[in-house]
Amino acid sequence: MHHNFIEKLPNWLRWVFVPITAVVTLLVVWVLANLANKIFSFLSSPEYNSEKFISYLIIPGFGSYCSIIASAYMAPRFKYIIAIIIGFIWVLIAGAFTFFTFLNQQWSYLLVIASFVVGVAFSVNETEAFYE
Amino acid sequence: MNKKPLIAIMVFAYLLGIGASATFYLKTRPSEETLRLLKMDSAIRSDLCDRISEDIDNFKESPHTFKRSSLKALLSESTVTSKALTLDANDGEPVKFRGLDGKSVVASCEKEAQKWVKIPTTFPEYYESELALVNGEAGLQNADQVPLPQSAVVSQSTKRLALVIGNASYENHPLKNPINDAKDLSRALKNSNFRVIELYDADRSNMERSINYFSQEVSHYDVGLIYYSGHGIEFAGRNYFIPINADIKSEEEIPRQGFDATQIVEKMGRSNVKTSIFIIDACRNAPIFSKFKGADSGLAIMQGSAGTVLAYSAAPGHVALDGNGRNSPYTSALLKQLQIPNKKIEDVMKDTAKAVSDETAGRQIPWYNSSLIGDFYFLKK
Repeated sequence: MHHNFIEKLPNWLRWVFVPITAVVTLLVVWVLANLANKIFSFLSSPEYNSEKFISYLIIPGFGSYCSIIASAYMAPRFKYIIAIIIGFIWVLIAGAFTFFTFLNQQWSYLLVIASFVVGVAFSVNETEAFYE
Repeated sequence: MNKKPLIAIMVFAYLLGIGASATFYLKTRPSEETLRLLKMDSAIRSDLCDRISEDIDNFKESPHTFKRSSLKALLSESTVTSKALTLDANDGEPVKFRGLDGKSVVASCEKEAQKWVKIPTTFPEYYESELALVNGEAGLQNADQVPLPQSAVVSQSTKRLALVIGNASYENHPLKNPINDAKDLSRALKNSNFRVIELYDADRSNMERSINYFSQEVSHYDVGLIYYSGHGIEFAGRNYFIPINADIKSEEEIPRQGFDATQIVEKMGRSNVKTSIFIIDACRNAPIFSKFKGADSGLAIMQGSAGTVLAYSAAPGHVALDGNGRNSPYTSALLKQLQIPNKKIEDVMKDTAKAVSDETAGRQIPWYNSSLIGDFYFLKK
């Protein structure tokens, strides 16, 4: 049903929604996943190792992955190209964050950036496999 | 499909992100000089807000008698204090609030400033311009730009300089009264036309910085006064003020962790200042140093050059009481004497000593020595 709803949208509107989908999906996934991580924090060890593992290594990658998959799905055509373009933008932003991470010596954020970039790589690869 | 071009695109994006952010940072980063001036603006603003809050508290305590001074006078005091605390004392740079961030000098405490401006003032003629500034209607960034004549600043403020230090929050043996003592004495000195640098709960680096700055600045003044309230100790014939972060485990550490008061007296003697006054309400009755063999109870007598008054809250070798009220017995008596006009400093010290001796049933007898050549009055009418 959801599938039909998106397909019924006019193409111009789907193009408009592509960047919005990319950003909103990333934010929603990031917020919900972090919320879930907090809720299930009782499963974590006393040092919060598993909580940290999820929030530093899983959530960023999952967020960028979902963002690209969702925006490629929203695009009416050229889905692989769209995945590459959005991946390009996310990696560019990750590069910018890398600089400030080094500047502020917040080394733990390097894990977040690495996870984010890996998520982009997986999603672009999957989009190619699915649509091309 | 060949993945190499895709990998190349992503690596390019990553490097582009790093390069773009580095370029942005380098282009927008303030210079070291700007950062230093911004830090100074922030320190002045913060100190001014403290003074505004203090005036509000004083007004609450004495709503019928307290009168505030002008914003320009407060700013003048804040710049002196902030200069002492934030900058290298040897750079000789003029002290000034610059408002580099475009915010008002009262930006950090606008609500308090709006209350403060309504306190009855000694300079009612400047009320309108001060009100406009604190309400942000004047379009001015700092109090220097308020069209107040220089007379708004206390008339003799350029002639008398004081450094007032109150150390109370010691980790091991905190004291109750030094902060109150220092604040009350600062107020009394301001009434006596002193420009006052105030320092509360100072660690060693803050003490060193302020004393260095004071020693340098005082040569432009006729009178220099240092008041110290807190723990002090005599070791090997020299007196040391104890910073709040001192952790003295053996007597050998006293010269390194304490601040050599004798050295300050010597330094003042070498400056051009005509009259030097030292008031030391130290060596309070917490026996933190009694375990050290080389450290005596009480302070040693120090030798000042001509034109120096050295006043101690207790006789050499004796300890002073911290007191049960708001002030120590010594500072409490001194505050009363300071407010009596046309009284020579020798009489102030003598009557203070008598009052303290009476109040403590002879357990504490303040001490002073003077090598003044002329007369000095705190208040003269």
